[in-house]
Amino acid sequence: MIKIENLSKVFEQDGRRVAAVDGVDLEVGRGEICVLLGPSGCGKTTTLKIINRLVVPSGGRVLVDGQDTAEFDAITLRRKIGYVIQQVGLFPHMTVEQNIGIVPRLLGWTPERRRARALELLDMIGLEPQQYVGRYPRELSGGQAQRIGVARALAADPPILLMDEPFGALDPVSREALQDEFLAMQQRLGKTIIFVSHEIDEAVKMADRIAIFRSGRIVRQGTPDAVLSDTSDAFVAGFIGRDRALKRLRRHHCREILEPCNRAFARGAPSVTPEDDLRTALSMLVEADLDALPCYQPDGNIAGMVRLARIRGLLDGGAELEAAS
Amino acid sequence: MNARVLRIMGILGIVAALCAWAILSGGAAAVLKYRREIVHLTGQHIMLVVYSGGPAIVVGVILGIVLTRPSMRRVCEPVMQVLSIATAIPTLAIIALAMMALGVGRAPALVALFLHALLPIVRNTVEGLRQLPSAELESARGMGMTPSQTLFLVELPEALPIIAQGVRVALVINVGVAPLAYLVGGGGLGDLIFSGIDLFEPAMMLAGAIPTAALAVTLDFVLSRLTVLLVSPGIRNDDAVVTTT
Amino acid sequence: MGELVAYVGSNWPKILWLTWQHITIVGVAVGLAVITGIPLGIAAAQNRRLAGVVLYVASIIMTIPSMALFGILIPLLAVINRGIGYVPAVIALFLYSQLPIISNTYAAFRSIDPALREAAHGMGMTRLQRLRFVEAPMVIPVIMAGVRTAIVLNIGIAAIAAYIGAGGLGLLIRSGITQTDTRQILAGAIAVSLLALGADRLLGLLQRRLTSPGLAAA
Repeated sequence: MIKIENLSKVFEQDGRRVAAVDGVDLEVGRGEICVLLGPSGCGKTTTLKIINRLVVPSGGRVLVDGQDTAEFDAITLRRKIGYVIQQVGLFPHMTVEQNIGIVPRLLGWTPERRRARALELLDMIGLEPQQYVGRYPRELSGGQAQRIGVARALAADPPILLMDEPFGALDPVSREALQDEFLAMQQRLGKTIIFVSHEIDEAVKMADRIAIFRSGRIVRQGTPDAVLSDTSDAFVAGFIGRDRALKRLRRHHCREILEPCNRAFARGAPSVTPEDDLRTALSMLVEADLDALPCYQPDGNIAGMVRLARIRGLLDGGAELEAAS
Repeated sequence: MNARVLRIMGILGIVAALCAWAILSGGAAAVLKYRREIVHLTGQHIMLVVYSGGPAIVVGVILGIVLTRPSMRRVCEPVMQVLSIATAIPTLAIIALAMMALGVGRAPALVALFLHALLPIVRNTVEGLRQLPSAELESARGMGMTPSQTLFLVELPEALPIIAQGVRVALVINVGVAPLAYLVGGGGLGDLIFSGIDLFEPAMMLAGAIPTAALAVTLDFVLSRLTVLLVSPGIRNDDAVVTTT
Repeated sequence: MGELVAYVGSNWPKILWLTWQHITIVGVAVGLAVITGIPLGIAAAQNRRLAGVVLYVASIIMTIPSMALFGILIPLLAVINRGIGYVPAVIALFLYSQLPIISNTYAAFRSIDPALREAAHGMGMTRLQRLRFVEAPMVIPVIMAGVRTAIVLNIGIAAIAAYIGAGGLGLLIRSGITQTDTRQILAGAIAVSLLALGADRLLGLLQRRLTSPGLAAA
């Protein structure tokens, strides 16, 4: 749905020409979350800002559904794209309702429709609507503000969402929670999302596709599994970290390698559920020095068993698992 | 009994005591002899403040907005420097210089008062607009607001407490400085004060001084209430600061 | 222009004398204000209720126009035969200096992180030592800013005080207006402006000198 062709952006800095973005090609399908990943200053944020024309590119183009964004009026374009930034930027003099309803207001919606939408979105992001509509940003916690920032970006129901390290300013616990909630929301909404992050763990968790940036170029892109298992580039390998195997395991769940249970497990023995991720399973296996764990359904019935050897096998045969999931 | 109520009661008590003393000592009667002048001159005084303050607000806020636009970034600092030097110049000097240029009467007084009110308003407008977090401006732009929408929907409402404080300070100071208008033939309550000094007539001085002071204090109170009404509850008013008088 | 220079040339003793008068009036008033204002500010920083009262009264004084204050003080002081001239001017200037000085002192002391006091206490400083080594360096820049505001403000008001017989450069402006003598007006206006600007600059430099590099505002 979004196609970036040979994008470049050159800045003048101290008399030198610096290429912040240097020949970037990227394709993002409809309903996908694509994470732009890389260290600071690698051009990922600049690329993001070119999509909604906050930054004008020096070369190349951005196509949305086949149409060059340069042909759109910038203001109209931005109203069709949701934009969420790290510091949120909620307007302190407006209530939560007014903040959420701002783009609809710019688009000319009636007050009733705006209010209904605000209530609907508050519910979607997990905040009690009646309690929060009339509040002001200064009364909100960091996590609440960030959620409302996301709601504000979704208010006019844009097909595309641009997010620039949206959860970066939160403490780790809130961040995890918000990531989970956001993924759940995305299941329902199916927006096309471009998400900038500098954290590999976040990227692995959130992305359908990852594009790793370095000095203005994409050095590796693909599904998280593909990116994590490819060790050919030293920079990429270094950025991902040497525990990449464990990172890969987070994306897979016990239900993928369930085998029929062929041995007896004690009642109180360590166990997993089908939805637990394999990293957790591996941790439990290592800690208890076992080679297999029973897997129970939430209702208590046995679902199968998870073997250490199968987990190893998954790592070695990365490509087939990618096809399976 | 909260602090505010006690405070107001205390002030009223002092005022009542002063009035009682004034009446009993016969001073009140002496001052009230001038009541017709007081009414007439107070009207003139108010006119002076309104005709200089009104334009100062309009010009000051617009100038402040213009100076904070991205295209004016380089010009902003030098202009602010010039304006702050202009404030250090004592009002008496400004009025005298205005008289040299414009002769006698209301004109030099109005011009001097206008210029004097301009700085606090421009300075506070600039400061108020400058301290807006860039995250908000970026959000506004990113969500598709035009520059003028950003100005009217985001920047001005948020800067309002500081701008309002600047306007208030400027107008109250204007009330206080307006007595000088008399010296260049501009009228106002300064007539009573200065004549009272020349003739060494305490009653006359007070007839001019008390209404002036009352006018200033009342205006200050009214404008501060008005500010509270106009500013969004979401913004903390106590953060508003006036840098100098 | 030429006339102005000629006038200044032939009258500079008088101008100098008036400038000196002007400086002394402001100096005495601000000096007294510092002596009363700083302790009041410190007390206010430690006692919330006192702070409320003191700051409120001081800000009310600020709203009273200078001419009005003169107009009120003169009859009052006339009772003790000090109605005209030096005394009411100094008293008015003294009162006007209160808010900048008290409020800045108050803000400065309140902004000191309690952790610093605790650290000082923990390392065994007496109250006086703490004041000298820890609090003073942090507080002085802000208080200086208040004193500076007071002085610049008062130079302007002192000019008006010429009308109540207090002397100072305002006299030049005043006689210039009465006699429609532009040279006097210009001489007085420029002199008083230069005095105000010069004081502001000088005190600004002093303030920067007194501010430790570690505290310099961004």
